[in-house]
Amino acid sequence: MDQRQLVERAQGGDHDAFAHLAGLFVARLDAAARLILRDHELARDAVQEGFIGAWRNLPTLRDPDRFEGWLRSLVAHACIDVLRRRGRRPIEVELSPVDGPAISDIASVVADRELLELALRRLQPEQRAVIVLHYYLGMSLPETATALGIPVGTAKSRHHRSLAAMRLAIDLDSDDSTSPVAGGQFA
Amino acid sequence: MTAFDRIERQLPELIDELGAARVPDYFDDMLLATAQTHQRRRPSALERWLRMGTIARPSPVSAVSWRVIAIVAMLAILATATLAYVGSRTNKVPPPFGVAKNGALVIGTADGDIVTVDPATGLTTPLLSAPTTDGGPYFSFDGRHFVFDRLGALWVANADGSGARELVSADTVIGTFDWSPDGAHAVVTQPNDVAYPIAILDIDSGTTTPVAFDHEVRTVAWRPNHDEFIVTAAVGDSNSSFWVIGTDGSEPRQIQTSVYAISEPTLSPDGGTLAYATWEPTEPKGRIRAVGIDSGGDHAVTTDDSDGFTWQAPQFSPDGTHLLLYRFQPASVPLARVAIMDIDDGSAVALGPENENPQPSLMYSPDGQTVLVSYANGDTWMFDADGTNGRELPFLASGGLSWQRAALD
Repeated sequence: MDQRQLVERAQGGDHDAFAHLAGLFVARLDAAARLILRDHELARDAVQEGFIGAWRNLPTLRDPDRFEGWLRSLVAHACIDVLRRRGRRPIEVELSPVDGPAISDIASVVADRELLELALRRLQPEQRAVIVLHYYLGMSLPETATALGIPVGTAKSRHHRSLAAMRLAIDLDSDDSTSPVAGGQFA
Repeated sequence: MTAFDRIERQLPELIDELGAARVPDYFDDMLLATAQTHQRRRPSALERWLRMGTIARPSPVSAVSWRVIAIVAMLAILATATLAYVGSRTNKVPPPFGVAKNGALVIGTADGDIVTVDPATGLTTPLLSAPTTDGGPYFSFDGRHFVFDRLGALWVANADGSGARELVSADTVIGTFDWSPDGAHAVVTQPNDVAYPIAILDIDSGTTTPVAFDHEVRTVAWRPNHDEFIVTAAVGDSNSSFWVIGTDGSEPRQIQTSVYAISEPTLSPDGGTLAYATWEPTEPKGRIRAVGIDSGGDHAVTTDDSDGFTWQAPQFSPDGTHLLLYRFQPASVPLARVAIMDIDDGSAVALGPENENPQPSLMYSPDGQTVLVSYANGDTWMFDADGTNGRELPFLASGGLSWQRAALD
């Protein structure tokens, strides 16, 4: 049974079909939520909210072929909703350890990954959301804008601004600078 | 090459490694929760379009006939004439704010071109079809120029697409952009400049004049009919405060608004009123408020919360009497429905369907008679401003759209 047929069956109330679909996408969306929110509990809340919303509203999805993009938008939207509910609580950094034989990795790749991890941590959550949706989930900037509820121009500027903040943070860190603050963007 | 240059080149791969994807341990619990949740009933076609009038859909064409060829040829001539008209209108310009005549509707296509489009037929005429990826067209208020994005750089062109030139290089970080009323300048945000987060950009020379402001700036807009800017400053991760400052940065004054204000505001065409959305701690979360920029009096526009609607993203109509916006019900269900709300009493008329794609892009036509709604799934709809006569438009505006203002007769 292909994905479209699964979506159509789930739209008709077949929960097994929905479970199959959820299994296809939950791992990557959970990882995306953790990258954005930096917190397992918050990520779980957002992903559950997104999937429950998807199940509940699936009958209203007009084009079954757009299920994946629609689901990504729902989870992204839930992440932002969680952020808004969270208010200004300090970000708790908690990412899964990276799989794979780190020892055999090329040292510079590991170093770059660590630099990127530090730079992402220093972004504001809404900046991080743009980076994660665009680079990790492969959404275009217009799709990212829609998922986050912001104008396309704002998504573009936020993307530009995020990269600028990351550049500052990475170049400072790579020089072994002691300053933890990148352009006032410390989250 | 800096460390960032190296990382940026492999950003998708590195971030993929950071986001280790595995089925989470709460997956089974989540499926239990969904199994216990009732699905919404599939709406009938009529239910999806309650409050709507005639739905005009393009008629399918089964075969190409000489009539079709003749019509297409006539439309091409008309479009060319329109383009020539757009390009030749240099003497009479519309007022920068308020109601104007509809000029060309310009969109960025999925192919990275910028074209004019006839909303009725979907017929497009190239404005910019360079081998680069262009998008995000944005007309000046006088309708004589538009800026657009080309590979991260900001370019400007005449309304007919001629004279395209780079205005700000991709190396210069610019946040938001808003035209001055006369189109000779723009006010931009400079996210990397803490001391001067705002600058005035000269469109002819590309030079900037910094403007000091002592807060983190999200957006800045020219205040209609005043020599002032309205600045949206960041308050924490999500909330906003709104400020009035002189165009030289003088006399910053905070507008007294709700502490739950979010996003950027919308300004009435006379520059007297600011409307904005809030995100409240209790349901319904998203509400709409308005305040006199000089006179104060912050107040709720959405006074009846009994329907549980969460409202977002208001935009003033060109005549300043209504807000174009969308709403959810409840906040946790991201089904958006577009609506037009009376600024005085908060009464609203919903347009079109409940749409599963959250946060549509909304736009009034310059004459205020129609609204454009562009959903994330690519559907673009047009409605009369009273909420009737919804029709799906036969084109996709993947790269943004802007509607040129033209002088009234």
